[in-house]
Amino acid sequence: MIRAIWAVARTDLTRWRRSPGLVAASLIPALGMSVTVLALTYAVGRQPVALVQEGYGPISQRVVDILRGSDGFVLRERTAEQAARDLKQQWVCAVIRIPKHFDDDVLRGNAHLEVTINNVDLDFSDDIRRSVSEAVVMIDAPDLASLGEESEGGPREPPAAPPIAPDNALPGGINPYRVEVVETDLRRPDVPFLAYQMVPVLALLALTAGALVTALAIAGDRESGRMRVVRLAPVSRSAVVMGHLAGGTIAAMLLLGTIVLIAALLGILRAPPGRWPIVATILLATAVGSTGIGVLVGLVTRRVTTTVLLGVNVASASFLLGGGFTTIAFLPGYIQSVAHWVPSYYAVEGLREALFYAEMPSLGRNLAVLFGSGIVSVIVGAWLFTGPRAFRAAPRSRP
Amino acid sequence: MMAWTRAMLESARGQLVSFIRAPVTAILVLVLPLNLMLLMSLFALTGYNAPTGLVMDEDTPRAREFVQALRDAHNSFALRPMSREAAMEQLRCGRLVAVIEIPRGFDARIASGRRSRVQLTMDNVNLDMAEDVRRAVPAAAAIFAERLDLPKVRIRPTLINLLARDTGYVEYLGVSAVALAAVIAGGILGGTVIAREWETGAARLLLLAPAGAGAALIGRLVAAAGVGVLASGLTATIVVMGYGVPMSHPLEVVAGVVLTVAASTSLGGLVGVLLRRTLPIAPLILGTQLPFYLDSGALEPQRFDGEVLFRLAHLSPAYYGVGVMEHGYHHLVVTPEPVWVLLLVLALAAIVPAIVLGRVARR
Repeated sequence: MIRAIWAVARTDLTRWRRSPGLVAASLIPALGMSVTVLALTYAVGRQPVALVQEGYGPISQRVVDILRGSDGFVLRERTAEQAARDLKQQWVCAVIRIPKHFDDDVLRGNAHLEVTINNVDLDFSDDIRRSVSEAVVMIDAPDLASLGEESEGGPREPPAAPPIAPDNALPGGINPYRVEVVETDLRRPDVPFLAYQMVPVLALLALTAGALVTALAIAGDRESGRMRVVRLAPVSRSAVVMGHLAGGTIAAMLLLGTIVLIAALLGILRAPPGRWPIVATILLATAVGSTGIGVLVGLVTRRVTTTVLLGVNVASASFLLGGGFTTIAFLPGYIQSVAHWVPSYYAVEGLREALFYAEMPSLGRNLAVLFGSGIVSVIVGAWLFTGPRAFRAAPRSRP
Repeated sequence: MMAWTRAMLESARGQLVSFIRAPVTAILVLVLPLNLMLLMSLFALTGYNAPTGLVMDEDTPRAREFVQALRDAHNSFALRPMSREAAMEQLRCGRLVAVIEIPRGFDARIASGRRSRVQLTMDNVNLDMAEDVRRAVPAAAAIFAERLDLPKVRIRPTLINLLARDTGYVEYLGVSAVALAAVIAGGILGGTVIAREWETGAARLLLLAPAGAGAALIGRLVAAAGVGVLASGLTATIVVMGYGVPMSHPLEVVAGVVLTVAASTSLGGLVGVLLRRTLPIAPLILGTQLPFYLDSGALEPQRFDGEVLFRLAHLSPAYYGVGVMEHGYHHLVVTPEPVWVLLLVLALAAIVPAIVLGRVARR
């Protein structure tokens, strides 16, 4: 039986290796997503904003320094006309104006920082509003969001914005907002955005390499009539299904291993001490679970075209419901319930726990579900494989 | 010319008959764009209002006022009142982004002109959300101070919005997903029907066709585009009926859907003729267009993400489709180019690859 499993797996692997199309199909979605995540890492969170400085007093200058130091903006200094033009042509999403008599207004206690926002959508408009408020608060209460911040590894570093000189702070350094915030972080330093987003990319890689390619390989066998020949072989149906599962899993693991190794060497992915074996186990389970889906998709469809479309539907749903661009735990309960039926959810959760969290309370459940998906796929796949449906050649009509 | 048109229409009819005879395929084509749109909406749902545990050690007027300021701090928090133990447990399990604790004596300290210390405990695993929360707490403090009319607050931001109202993130993303639906459905169908001609060997026979191979291939693309328009139209309708987003310019939406599908189908056909195999078409289209979709103004006007990404975005029909859709539904201008230019580019992207396809097919 093992020889049969290995023979089928080796055939799938050889076909995958010799088919540039299949290799491309495995790699391009994940590579494309990696590039996107990389680009978003540098683009998301920092919005281009024009600064029109009309007042040049010492307080105005300090406000400019605070705005320059803010990690919410990419500041471009412009004249009023240039800023208006930039806003219209979408070079910037907001214009901050420091009025001519800003310093005098501050001393009178009635200064306004004028912010014009291109509020096309709520998400980035609110980002700007928050960042502006933060910058304004920093002027009179620099300690509000920074001083006293602590994390488990010790106090956080002071913010990038330069501090306000005491002569411009309120008498006695009183925080006029009367609220002091002490921040404690669960980990130090922050997890880089790229590392956080790499996890679903790995799940996507498993889905494309394991699920999609395996499904296409099985469907291709049926459409070409090779599956009829396989039926004549003196091996059990389970062995054939397990062979496909093994082939897809090995292919997915090879790709995942390569990507993880590169990411680890580049310092993008860093596991806590002693966690790499667990990460490897979760990746293996992810490959098994994903390939299991592919086996089922390949066996329930009759044409390659249908397999492709079902595979793409399943892969995209698995990726996005698994936490591809989001954190499932933050979504409404009914969506979380749906996500719990998707193996990639357990893969993403397991990998995030293993890489970023001190405890892994869901490790056993995640591994059980992922490996269980593989086992279920073998059982259901063997049953599907036994029926006449599996060997019925696809109609020769066009897609 | 008449013979060419007849051949093209006959080819399209044959392709449509094939789609009808294979209903599963057709249904999956209809489902795919809907699937993508609904799932992309999940992303929008977590774009703001970070789930935050709220631990109140006292329930006093000023404490409630501070909580209200947190709620009003630019859609930053979805506050969930709970005990400290429960909050910390949920935070450690990754079910909350942060926990805010309002201490006992908060009201009294504020009333007496002293500072009160609010504890913010953060799960800083997702930097994007963590930074939003870090910025939102000072913003809430500013709102709090203004509402209580606390003295000595010297500077206030004056926020001026260019548009009368903000467009909700789900509504914005839902509309842009119509363009994604059009690109994916058109690209996959166009690529598949053309690659199939080579895979089955029919392309050789087409060389003998009196009207030329181009007419037959373009006919296939027309049929594929028809199904793609149906699928995208269904998605566009669900945005109106399900998401409750009315169309500001219905004709623009229709033109946008048709031309985005046409351009994607045509470009997909070109991919199909280059690859000559159906297998890699769908993964390739999905794999390249999903990133391009994120880089198309789907999340915010694309130029805000920098010049490099902005220029790259122009390589995909998604950019032009999103620009037309956002204007068609929300009357939003998210591209520097006017809508007519976007439509013109889509039309050219539909025509030019089809001409190239016809020429390539002769070889």
